[in-house]
Amino acid sequence: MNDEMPHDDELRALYRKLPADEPRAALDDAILAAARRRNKVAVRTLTRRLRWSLPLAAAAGVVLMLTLTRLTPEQPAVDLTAAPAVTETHKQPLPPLAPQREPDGANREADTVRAEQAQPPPAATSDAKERDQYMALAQEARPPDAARKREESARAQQLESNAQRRAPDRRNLAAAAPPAAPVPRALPPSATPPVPAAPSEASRAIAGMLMSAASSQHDAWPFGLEAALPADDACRRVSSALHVTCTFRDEVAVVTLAAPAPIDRGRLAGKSVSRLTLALRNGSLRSVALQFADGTGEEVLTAPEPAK
Amino acid sequence: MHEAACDEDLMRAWQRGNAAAFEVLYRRYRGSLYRFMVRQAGDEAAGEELYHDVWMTLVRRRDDWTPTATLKTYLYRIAHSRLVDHYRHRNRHSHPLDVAIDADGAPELADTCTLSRADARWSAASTADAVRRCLDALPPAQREAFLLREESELGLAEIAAVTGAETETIKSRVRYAIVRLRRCLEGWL
Repeated sequence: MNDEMPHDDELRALYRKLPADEPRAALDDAILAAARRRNKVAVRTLTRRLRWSLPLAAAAGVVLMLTLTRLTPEQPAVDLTAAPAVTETHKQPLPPLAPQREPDGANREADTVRAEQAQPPPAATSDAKERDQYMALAQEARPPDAARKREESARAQQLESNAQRRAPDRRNLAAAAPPAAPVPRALPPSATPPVPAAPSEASRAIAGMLMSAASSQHDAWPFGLEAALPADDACRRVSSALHVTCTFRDEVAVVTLAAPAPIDRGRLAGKSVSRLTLALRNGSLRSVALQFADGTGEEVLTAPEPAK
Repeated sequence: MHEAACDEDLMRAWQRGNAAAFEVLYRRYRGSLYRFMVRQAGDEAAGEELYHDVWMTLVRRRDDWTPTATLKTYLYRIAHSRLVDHYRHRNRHSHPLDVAIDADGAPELADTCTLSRADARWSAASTADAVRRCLDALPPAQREAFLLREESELGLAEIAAVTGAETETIKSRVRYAIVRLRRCLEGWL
């Protein structure tokens, strides 16, 4: 008790002589029963609230998730020129063609492109038009050097982690896929210089993931200029085998081509239907569409085996 | 179970649905609160009814209680409010618990009770009866302050919180209550 309070010990002792009256047992029982009833009412209220609140919360969560999914903006266009191996390839000279051979029609086309790399193009020719178109597209696709280097670095890391995460399962599935249909080749085999053995799987453009990286030797692959890209409706040749536009069902986030020719331009956009535009300076590709049991699919772009 | 727990822990346990916690709390305060209510109300029947009301109010307001106030203060504040209502109901035009007390002078109400052993009427009365009669003779505000201190063992600040009065006012009320009781119980001291 507070010492500041006035007190009187004699009076306190006298007060303590009062009997310690207590409530009757019936009064105690009534109060305790009321308290117990209050508990039961609270539990019932809580149970009733939970009965409705849990399904309601679950439904609200689903609605929220769907709304967020709907509102999520589409993935921005991805520049596929960022693949490091491909960029390196781009800087290396192409293998020279055999000088004694007389190029046929398709070979002439390839030679034309090679010649374009070596010297300024002649004006007012059909090839020059294609080259101009190609150059314009390539220039448009190529970001400034500093920004492109940063993007390349970030993308390489992302691709590597994605591939590590999903590659094993997809690789097994891809191995079980039917072989690719033979691709019409315009270049005779003799037109291609000898190269090391090409990897069986040059690269893949799959639904959302990079499945395999390019071989480090792809720059030595001997394929000449060829318009051997998928012939179905999804892919169309835009311009004299220099540009190929493919439309992939499902999302294609990353496409890396270990084609014998460098990729000057690769661009994906869209979400449910992705559009891939490749600008090839040289090379040929085969496309195999794979559909997996889990409903996903992938488009495998493969460089054909080099001719012996 | 819970016997050693503090009031606030018991109250929280009861809020979470532990009925046993309330029983411990009830046993802890039933005697002192009952005596306070009966002695303050002036008769046993009214005191019992008020006592029941206080506990019912606590039961109803169980979820309103927060640890910002001690449970003891909270409980006696309910009791004070019920007593004020009781007095208002009994006499709409007076409010005995709000009786003004001049801190420097004598209580406004005249003493009506002075007992002594020599008094023929009280000579046979027991000490307990004498104390009870003298308590009844106190002004309600002074009696309340005295009972809250002696019966419920509340401190100065707690009594001030319960009654809503200043601490100096509480001191004065207790002091005057002691003076009056000493005078009333002169023959027993």
